[in-house]
Formats: sequence, C-alpha cells, structure tokens
Amino acid sequence: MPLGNVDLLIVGSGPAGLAAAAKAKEAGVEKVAVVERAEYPGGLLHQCIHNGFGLHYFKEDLTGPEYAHRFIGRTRELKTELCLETMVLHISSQREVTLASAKEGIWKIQPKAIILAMGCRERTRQQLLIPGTRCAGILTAGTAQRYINIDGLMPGKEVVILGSGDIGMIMARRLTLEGAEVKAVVEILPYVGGLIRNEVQCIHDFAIPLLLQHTVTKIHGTERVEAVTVAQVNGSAKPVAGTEKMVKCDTLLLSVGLIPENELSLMAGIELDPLTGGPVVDDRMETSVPGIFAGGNVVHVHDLVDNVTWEAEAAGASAAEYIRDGGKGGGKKIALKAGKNIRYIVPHTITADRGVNLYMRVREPQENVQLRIGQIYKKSLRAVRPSEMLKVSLSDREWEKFKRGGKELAVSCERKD
Amino acid sequence: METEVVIIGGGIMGVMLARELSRYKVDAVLVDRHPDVGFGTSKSSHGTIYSGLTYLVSKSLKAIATSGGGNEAHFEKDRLCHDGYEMWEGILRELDVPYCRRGDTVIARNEEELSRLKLMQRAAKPEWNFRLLNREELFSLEPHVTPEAIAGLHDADHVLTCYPWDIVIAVAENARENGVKFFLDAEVRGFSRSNGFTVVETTRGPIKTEFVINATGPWGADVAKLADACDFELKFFKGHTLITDKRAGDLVNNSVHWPPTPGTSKVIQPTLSGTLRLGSIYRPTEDKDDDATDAEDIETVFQRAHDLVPALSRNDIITCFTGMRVFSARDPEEYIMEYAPHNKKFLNVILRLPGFTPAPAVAGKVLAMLEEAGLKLRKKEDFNPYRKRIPIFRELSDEERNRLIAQDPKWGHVVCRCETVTEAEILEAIRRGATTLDGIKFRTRAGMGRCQSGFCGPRVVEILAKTLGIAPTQVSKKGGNSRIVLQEGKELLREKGV
Repeated sequence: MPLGNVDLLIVGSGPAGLAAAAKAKEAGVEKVAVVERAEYPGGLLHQCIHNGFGLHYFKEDLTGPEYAHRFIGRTRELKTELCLETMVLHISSQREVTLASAKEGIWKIQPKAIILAMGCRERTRQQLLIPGTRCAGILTAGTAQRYINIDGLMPGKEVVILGSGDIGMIMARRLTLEGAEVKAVVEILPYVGGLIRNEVQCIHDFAIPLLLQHTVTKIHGTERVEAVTVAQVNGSAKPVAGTEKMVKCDTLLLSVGLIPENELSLMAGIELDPLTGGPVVDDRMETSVPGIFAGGNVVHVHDLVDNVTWEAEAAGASAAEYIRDGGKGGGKKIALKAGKNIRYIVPHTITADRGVNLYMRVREPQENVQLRIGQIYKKSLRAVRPSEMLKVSLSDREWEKFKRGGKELAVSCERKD
Repeated sequence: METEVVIIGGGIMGVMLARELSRYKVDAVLVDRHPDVGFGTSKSSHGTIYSGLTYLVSKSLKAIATSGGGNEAHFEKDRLCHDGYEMWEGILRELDVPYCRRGDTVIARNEEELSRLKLMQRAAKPEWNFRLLNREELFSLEPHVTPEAIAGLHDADHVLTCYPWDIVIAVAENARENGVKFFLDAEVRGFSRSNGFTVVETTRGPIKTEFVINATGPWGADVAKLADACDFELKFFKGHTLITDKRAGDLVNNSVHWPPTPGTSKVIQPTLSGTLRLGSIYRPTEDKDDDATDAEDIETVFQRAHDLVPALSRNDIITCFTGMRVFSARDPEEYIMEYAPHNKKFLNVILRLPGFTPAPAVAGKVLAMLEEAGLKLRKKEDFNPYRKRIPIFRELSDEERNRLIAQDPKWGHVVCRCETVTEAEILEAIRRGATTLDGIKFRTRAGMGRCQSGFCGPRVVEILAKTLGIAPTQVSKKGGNSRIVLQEGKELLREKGV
C-alpha cells in the first residue's frame, strides 16, 4: 500500500502542513508524506485570492494562491510525497493511521511521527442559536468565499454580515467588488474582531456600514432569507429592547469565530486546551501523545499565515529530531501561566535551553501596556487587542536571565504607570 | 393523470397509507407540496415510537386519571397506539431502519409530584412493569439528575428511538417500490367533481381519482375546506427542541422528564446518534406555518432541561428547531379519522401526538373505511415488504468499506467530512429521490454535523446540479425559492453595467 514506510506523516496540506513538511525534509527526514483530502495541495489558501500574505515571512505582499505555490514548489524540489484525495479516518494513540481514498480504498499505516495540520473550521449559526426561521441564505463567510472565488457563484445580492472576523471583512469587500450590496457588518463587541488593516482596507475604504455593539436578534424569511432584525447590545452583550430594526437582505453571512479542527486529535487521545480548542503542546509542538506533533490553526487560530508557517516549521524540525533520536534532547519543562489580561499562551510548556516563539492573545483591548514574561522578558506596547496575536521570540540571551529551578513562568500584560 | 386513490400529504400518515395500499391491486398517487417526503411536520417529530410510561406522559393528567378519558374516541386512540406500537418493530426490520430500544424515567422532587408518579403507576398496564424508584435507586440509574429528586418512576422498555425522517423515507421508498406514484412539488389548489369522480387540482396539473385521503396534518382543515369536506377545526401548538453535542450524550441513560403538565413534552431524550434532544414547552399559535425559533423559548427549554440535569451546559447546545402540534378543537385527545360530511370517498386522517406510534394501525383502519366506501382491496402476490437502506459508510467495517470501494471508487471519496459521508451515498440518495440539500441531509446526514454543511455544501450543490442536470443556481435547500446560490458570478456586475 502507498505510504507504507513513511517516517513522518503530515495531515493536511494547507500552509501549516506544507511548511512542516519542508522543514522536516530539510532536517533530514527521508520519507515525508503529506495527506490531503482535496484534489490539490494548499488548503484554504486557494480561495484567499486577496493580498497580504507573506509580508513577514517573505517580506513580500502575496495573494493566498501565490503564498501556497511558494511551498508547493518547495514540496516538489524536496521530493516530499503528496497523497491527494485521501482522507485520514482515524489516528490511534499508538500512531496507527487509517486512510481512505477512491483509488486505494481503506488502509492503515504506522509512521514514526505524525504532524497534525488540519487547520480550523468556522463557527455556525447553530452554535450561536440565532432565533428565527431555517431558510436558505445563511452561510459562513468562508463558505461564501469558496462559492465566489472557486465555484464562480454568487450566494447573494443584498448581504448582512454578522461578526467582523477577518474573513467576514474580506468578504464584505469581495462581495462589494462582485456587485452585491453589503448592507452592514454587525459586530457585538465595541471593536472589530479582525485585524485593523482589514477594518481600514475592507470596511472603511468601501464605505460599508459598520455597526459595533449590535447583533442580529432574528432571521426572517420562509424559503430564502428576507430580512434580519438588528439590535443594539448593552455592556453585557444583551440586546437593548426598543433598538431593533429590520434590515432587508437575501443573505446573512457569519464571521463569528474559528474553531481548531481536532476530531482526529481526540481519537488519538490527545489532550486539548479548552481555551484554544487545540492540543496542549510543548515548545517542540509535541502534543500529549508522544510522536504526534501539531502546528498552525489546528493548535490555535492565527491571524497571520506567516505565524502559521513559523509554528509549523517548529513542529517539522521537532518531528525530525524525534525520528532521529526519540526527541530526548529537552531539559526540564516549565509551564507558562496566563496572568493579567492574557487569555492563553502557546506553547503551553517550554524547556529553558533553546530559542522559542511564544504566541499569545490578550483578553481585553488595552493601551500603554507592558508585556512581561516572569523576570526574563519585558516589552512596552502602545496598544493590544484580542484580535491581534502577540508574538515573542525568546533566545539564549533571555535564558541566561532565567534562574534554573523555577517550574512556572507567569505572562502578564499590565498598564504602565 | 388518473388513479383510484389520491393521498394528500407525504408525512408519516400519508406514506404509511401509501405503503398499506401498495399491498393491494390499487392505483394510488401520493401528492405533496414539498419536493420530498417528510418535509412538513414529520421531520421535527421526536422520532420515537412508544408505549408504556412515555405514552402515559403524552396524555393529559385528566386522561391518565380517567384511564382513557372515558369516551370511545379516547379508548380508540389508546387501542391504535397500542396496536401500532406492537407492529412497528417488525416494520422497522422489514424496512432496514436503524433504531434502538430505550427506557424512560419520570422524576419527582416533592410529595405532590410523587403522588402524580403513583397515579401513573396505577394507570399502567400490569405488563408494563413500571418500577417506583427511591432516591438511591434513581441515582444509581440516572446519576446526573438534579439532587432535589426524591423518587422516580421507571419503565425499562417501550421506547423505540429512531430518526423520524429515516422512517418516513423508508416507508415511502417501499411504497414506491410496490407501485405507488409520488407526485411531489405539487400543491393542492382545489377539488372539482365530475361523473362521480373527484379531480384534485394541483400546481402540477389535475389528478382524476375516485377516493381522496387528506393526511396533511396541521394543514388538514385548509385542504378539507377546499373540497367542502371539513366539519372539524384544528388548534396548533408550537414547541422548541434543542439538540446537544455528543459529549453531553452520557448525562442520561434513558429519557428523563418531569411529571407531565399541560403543554410540555419529554424533557431529555437520548437520540440514536448519542446526542440529546431537549424538549419543549408548547405554546398555542394561530400560524401553523411559523417555524421561527424564539430566544425566550430557547432559554426556557434549556432551563427546564438544566433544572433536571444540572450538568448540562449552554455550550453543549448545537442546534435548535421548532415543531408544530395539532389538536382537534372538538376534543384534544381524539384522532380525526372520518369520512367527509356527505362524501364517503373523501377521508380526513389527522392525528395529534403520538403520530408515528399509531400510524400502521391507523392505516389499517383507514383501509377498512375505504373498503366500506367501495374500494376493492385485492392482495398483490408480488408485494415486497422489504427495503434496504443506503449503506452507511461511517458505520461499516474496513472490510465492508473496501468491498464497496472495489465495486465503485466513489465509496472512497468522502464528501461530508464531519459525518464521513461518501460521494456514493450522496449519489444513491439522489437516485432514491433526493432533489435538495435537505433531502440529501436527511438521507445521508451530509451537512448535519458540526460544520453544518459549510464544507460539504458547495460540493453537494455541485453533485446535485450535475446529477439532476440543472444549473447550480437552481439547487435549493428544501424546494421553492430556497436556492443556495442566487446567480452565476459576474452576472450581477453585468446587470449593473460594470
């Protein structure tokens, strides 16, 4: 059967999977294979035809497909095996992987190491329990993006977008460019859920009404959406009676959050963090199951693909190390604790003897703050927001300051006085 | 078109009548305004077939106290439900419908509720074997119910759990296999009479027939009035149902609920797939077409379930929908099964809940009424009672999967990744009559999982368009104008002259 003797199996060929594969190959793993259920590699990058990809990693402004092709090219150069139109049905805690494809049927393999790179999925109307009818015309922003950019079909003409995540804002612009009327982008919080650059370039530049501290309280329509009720919300995000107004539309787009896709991780018995929705990982991006690593949006949802790439490269390098020597290089593990105004930090534990990138999100927007990691690192920041991930690179220099013996490092973000 | 019997309504009662008629040499046509069967009230039914404690709970307290309510209509309803229940397991087996057997527990928090438990125990048939549980026994059976509980009444059996659409689709497929014609997407607009025949006028053309059965549930009075065949009035009650994630599925072992009060239904009920169904408060409504959910009712339903099993969390809820209940205004306990005034060839068959449980027995009764009205019922020798379901890829062993993939590689192409549904299953669903996304969803579960068709939606649209030979812009969620995409790309720009 195919892939029978692979050393490293990577699940998913989006930006995370391709970056992890390239890194592992470069680190000397001989047989690396990437499994992808679609007909082509690259994952969702193909439907992200807007620009803004690679500004940090390549110092270039690329579109999603261009970014994908850089890595698809690397895959070819490095002779990484790509196993397309194949779905992983199951992974056991012993790393036994069950695969399915039309060509090969169902078969099992047991690679020496696995990297999970399944990415994430969108939250749905059902999870929000928006009251109203069950008509057609309610879809997530990413699904609308696929219809327009891949299938060449228009999901609607008069659109209300609930939630101001990045895909939602990008779709507000995209729909406008395709001739649709975006009646409003409705956000329950007092600030947008995505990047500032998207708020400026996708909403304000196209004069799309942005209703902050509003939400959709009801969906109307029997067969297709006919209107939605939009209402203001109070400080505890509850609709304010008397502020409801009907907005006529034929489509409701949702951009209300992304959820790491971890059904396979659960099958393998991997411990998940309820805050991120992804696996608990150490600084080598190893999960709680030895030999299974993870990187990118399957671990926690990033806002920049560049960070997905770096994080997955760390997973690729560590998997290579694991295949070579069982990955026993690491010293003692130190737990990272989320302190004031920190929602979560990835990785969850680190080993204080090598460089590591820490990714974290704050709980609330705040200005003039100091970000502190125990006694070893501090940095002043003008403003922080939950939608903009913070990244800190710790190097040997910081470790010298770290007194050996500590079991924990507290990360906090506090106002400077 | 000409036929002997027109059945109006493709819900459980309509398809069951169709199947029963298909045992005989009778020409029958089933008409429904939806593009598929079960798209009306049946799809949001509980999907349980029950007797015992669950049946008692479905009745009003008064009806329980008087054990049947004391009049012939009530006794007949009890009888039909009992007979129907006895018939169902055999039918589910013949039709290869997945089901499982479960029990039921009613919980009391105080002496008053305990006295109602005892009332139900007295009303039970001896063979039902109810057990009155003390607090300790209750918690060993259902460890997660509220600590306030002091006792429970338990029935270890008598609930067949299925999916309502599975049943309707299976019965319809078997009726079609045995010769009943299905005339879907056809709304009945009126009736006329000519030479002793009735002409049913539909949006897809007229059907000339001798007999008409009106099995349109909540729409029953409207349809009957079109034929001047109505001397009953209906009342409607709308209720909300919430579905939890599978992770909450272990919180109960059987259905659990409070003692019955008017306007409520089973509180927590495990479904076939391991999710929980949180049931309803039913409110009277005038608008039987109103299926909109309401924030306050969602909260009430959740709260009632949460009171019963405090470990349930709001985050466990994955979806919500409403269902419509219908009652006869003459007597809320009765089933309407009667000839139209002055016309024995027009029958009204409108059931209150339970509707699935008695359906096979009611069908038998209605056939007898048709015979009495002059329909000749001669048995068909070649009636085939069996139907095979579409193989369910996610439930097969790897060997069985490989056998199917060897026959047709499309069995190895997973289209819906949340529920692991293959292209072959979707194509087979279309071959068996699915024409919409909901039709595919009910037959295969594609789109029913955690991403709610975000991923497979565009792919199913493509498969439907290709297989049915229509444009993607014509593919709909559930018929009519419920189209998924409205235009081809760039069409809108051209319209606007860009």
